Amino acid sequence: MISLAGVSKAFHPGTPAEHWALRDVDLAFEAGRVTVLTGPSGSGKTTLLLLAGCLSRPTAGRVLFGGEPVSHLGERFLAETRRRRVGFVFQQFNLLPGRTALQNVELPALALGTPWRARQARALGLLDALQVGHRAHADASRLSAGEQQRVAIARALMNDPEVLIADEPTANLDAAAAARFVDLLGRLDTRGRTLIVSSHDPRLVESGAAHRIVRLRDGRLEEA
Amino acid sequence: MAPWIERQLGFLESARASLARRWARTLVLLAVQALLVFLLGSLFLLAGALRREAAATLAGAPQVILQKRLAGRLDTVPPGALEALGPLRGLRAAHGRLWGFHFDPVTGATLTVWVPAEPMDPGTVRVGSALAALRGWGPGDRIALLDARGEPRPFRVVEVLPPSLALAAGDQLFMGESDFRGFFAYPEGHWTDLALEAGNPKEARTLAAKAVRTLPGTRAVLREDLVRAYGTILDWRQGLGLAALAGAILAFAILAWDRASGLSAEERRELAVLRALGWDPGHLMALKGWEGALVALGAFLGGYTAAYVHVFHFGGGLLEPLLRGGSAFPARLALAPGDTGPTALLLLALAVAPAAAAALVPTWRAAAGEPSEGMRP
Repeated sequence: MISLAGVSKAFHPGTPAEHWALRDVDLAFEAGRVTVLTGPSGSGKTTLLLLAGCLSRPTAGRVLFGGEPVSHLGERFLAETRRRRVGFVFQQFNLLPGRTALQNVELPALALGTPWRARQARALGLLDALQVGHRAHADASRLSAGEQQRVAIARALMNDPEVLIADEPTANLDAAAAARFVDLLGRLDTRGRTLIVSSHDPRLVESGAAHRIVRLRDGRLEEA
Repeated sequence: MAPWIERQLGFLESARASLARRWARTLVLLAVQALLVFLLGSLFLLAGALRREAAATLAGAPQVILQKRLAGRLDTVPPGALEALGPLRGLRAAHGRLWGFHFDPVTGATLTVWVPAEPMDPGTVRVGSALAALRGWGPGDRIALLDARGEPRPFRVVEVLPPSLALAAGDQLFMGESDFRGFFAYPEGHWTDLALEAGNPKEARTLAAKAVRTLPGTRAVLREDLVRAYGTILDWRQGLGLAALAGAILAFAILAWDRASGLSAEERRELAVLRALGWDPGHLMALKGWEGALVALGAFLGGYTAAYVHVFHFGGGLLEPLLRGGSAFPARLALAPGDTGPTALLLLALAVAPAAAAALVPTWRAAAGEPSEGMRP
């Protein structure tokens, strides 16, 4: 379970450009449940996901994994938390160009030191499960948006994380691909995995896949 | 296999893929570093080979050479000098040597004419490989040289010395004693200098001092002094070569600094994505270190191989005039490789260590701050 306790995040603090993206957020994401964060653009959804995924540190407050605070840890320990416990699907997918889909999926396991055979078998298994196995050896930059997203999901699941976070997963997809993702979402919360998804796409919010909807406005929780 | 090794193998493969993706930049880096390794390698290997050749050549030189001087210039050693040295304690052997210079109007070069220790048939000569190549002489050829009276004197070439002796004897010509005295009109009983051997080599300097006292007006040249002088000259010329290469080294330093001072936007984004996937700064530095090391290793292998072939198969033609000095005889040296291991290790360290280190600085910088910052387009 991930908890945010009194979390605030400011950009350029102490300067004239200071901007508070989140203020005093208290929120817990329970294992085995799908939480959808929703709210208008600029409401702080992505910032909250980055904090929950240990990709950013709060200006105030704490982020806790399984009740243990992690946000104050050094970069090496934060990286280890990301490596072992968190899978992140970015809005722009952030696949590395010039590498194949398979090589992209293997990247998190490289840092873990997973043996080559096991690494490749798992990556291919994930790509197959996400129905993109036939594109395993294609350059990531040559994949369609829907294929890129499925590769990004496979990459996020590579180290079998406790938490899967997806930022605006349907924003760059056409209607058919977005519908496929909504369908897929219902199958990802297996084995007690925590799923956190940000979206202002009504198809996702109203799909029934979400166990919980959290609304954000101007960096504050509006309704939980 | 241990996770650490699996991880390094993964990073290595990832580094290879990364370099292949930026192949144009990789090739430029590789070419510049390989050129530098080639130049430094050629200089070091050639200097080392010349030192070995000089040492091997001088190993056969007399322990002490006694020269007669007149008004500060070399003069012939008069008859009776050898006999005067006979009673010296510690003298194992002494003999007179005959040698001189001959200007060859055909080539415009001055060659050295020697009388060898072993006897030669009258009217025959042995010639150095560079001289033979320049004049187009071969075994069996009949040649004529202008003697001291300006008259052509016929000789028959019986041997061209092998290229392996080119450094010491490339521009030399050997003939018998009677031919030499006739050719140069050299007075009977006189010698160019005297070669002395001490019973105990460690006493050579003492023997030389005694010989000079016995024959006033002479000076002694010791083999160990010649070895030291050659070494000093080669050191000085190698230093000159390094100074000449300073420009290339500086260019490489600028390139390395360029690499150290920043990453491309694409590389920064790539590192940020990797951090987001759980790579820590150590992993990123291992990846970039492997990239730098792979380029440097490739440059070392290419540059060192080229330098080796250049020096030991082509006689180091590009740098040989610098180290060996100018000569009218453009001999292709046949140098023996000897023990080149230390030179290879030095060049490997010079090539790989800075390149790998240069890759680490920008990576360390990129690993600062939050991963989310680096992923922004």
